[in-house]
Amino acid sequence: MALMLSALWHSLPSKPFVTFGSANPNLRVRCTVGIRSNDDLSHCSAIPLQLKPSACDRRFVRNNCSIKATKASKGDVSTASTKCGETAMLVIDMQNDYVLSESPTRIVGANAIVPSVIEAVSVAREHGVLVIWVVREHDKKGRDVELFRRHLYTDGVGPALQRSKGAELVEGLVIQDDDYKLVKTRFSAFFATNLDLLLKSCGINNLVVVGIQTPNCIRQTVFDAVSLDYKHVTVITDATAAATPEIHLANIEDMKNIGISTRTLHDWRMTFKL
Amino acid sequence: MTAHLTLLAALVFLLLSFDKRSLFQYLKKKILIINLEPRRLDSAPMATVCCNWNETALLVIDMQNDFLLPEMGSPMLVPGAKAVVPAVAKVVSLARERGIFVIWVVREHDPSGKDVELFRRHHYSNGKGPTMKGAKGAELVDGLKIRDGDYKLVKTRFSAFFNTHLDAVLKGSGIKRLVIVGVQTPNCIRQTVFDAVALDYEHVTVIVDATAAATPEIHSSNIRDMKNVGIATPTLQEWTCSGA
Repeated sequence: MALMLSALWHSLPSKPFVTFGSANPNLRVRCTVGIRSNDDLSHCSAIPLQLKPSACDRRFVRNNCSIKATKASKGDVSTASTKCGETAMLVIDMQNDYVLSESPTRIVGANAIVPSVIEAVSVAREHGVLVIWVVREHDKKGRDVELFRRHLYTDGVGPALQRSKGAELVEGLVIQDDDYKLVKTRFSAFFATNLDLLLKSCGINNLVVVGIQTPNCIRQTVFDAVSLDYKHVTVITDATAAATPEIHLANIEDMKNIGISTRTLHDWRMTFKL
Repeated sequence: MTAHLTLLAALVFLLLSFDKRSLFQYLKKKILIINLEPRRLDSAPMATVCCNWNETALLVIDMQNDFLLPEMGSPMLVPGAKAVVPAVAKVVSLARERGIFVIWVVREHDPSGKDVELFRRHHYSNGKGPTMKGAKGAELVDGLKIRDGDYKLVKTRFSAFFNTHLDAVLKGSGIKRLVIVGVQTPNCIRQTVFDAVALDYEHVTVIVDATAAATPEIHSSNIRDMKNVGIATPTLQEWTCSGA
């Protein structure tokens, strides 16, 4: 029996990983095998299943969703193979007060990217990518906003106040059950939030970022992601925006220079089909 | 009792009739002079009356051989950045005269590269790599020296605040205002000052001709972005005169 299993194993085509059953209903052995068929299984580890359904279960449900490697240059950490279950999409600050043309605190280029962000989220969900809605929600006195913006908060009025219409996501963007909402009070989604802990506990190694605005919240988030050793960090260039195209492009260049992948929505979608 | 009330009324009347503005400015001047005792233990002269230098720290970022000297042959060289060394030396000298807390922020990495960003790890092999701890490449360039009373802070990522105790050191020293010089503008300078804004430092200044990037275009576009979040961006000349 053992010989038969061994022969069967070695005859199987290479797969990125294989899942075995276990007598313990709370355990599933998940092994990452190499591309050579004679790798042994000594590096397999048992990973406990979540006992309750959660956003992290996506990892076990859609483990057949791999993005193959594209040609990577030395030091380029952006184009190696990614697995959907290890990827999260951060949708940053797509809120009424920052997007709608009638808002005094809008980012000028933001309205134009709403359809792209909607599509990016749809593609992410289709492929089992965890969607995290990162939003600002501020105290009406501005006590939790950056010093240089506190003057915007007077008489109980200000941008992205907690429970206000301005803090809601723009029309077309809807948080679904499997998604996660994260509130931040500074530029970076990692700054003084539980985002890193959440991602690591979900086994997320790769990030895809959309939203606004490129020089501030997008940039600070992705630079922090690189500092925190996320393996692949991608910014979708036509689903992010700044006040002007010049600012947007200059920041995209700087991100490229530290190994962040900067793709159009179309190109990012195509990586799922390789 | 009546006498006390009369005295109190007279004092209130006096206070109300004072030129409060002049009184306030007089008191402010007096308090400022008292607060401007030099922090450092060296023999720096007492600062002239100006703006809160005892609450100010200067961060000198990554002015190390591997980032500045072409002859080191380092992959991390910032082309042209060596040109700001004299300006940085001048800022440091002026900061010391003013009693500003000088903090030397440097990268020092493990030879295996295990404490460097992932996208740079391939630069570390066979026990060699940029700004390794103890190596010549990690030393400050000629002309810049750490003196008694200064502080050295080692970082392993872009921002001087990232995973370091810098914020604790600054807050513990009563620092509310930061002045930044060094390299390079889009990465370590920018991440540090954006983090400083996020951490509610009251006044953050980048001296534009004592910082540098790989190209003038990258430098100026980053300076523009910093201005847009309330960071002050004077030249060395302007900072020398303003003392902010």
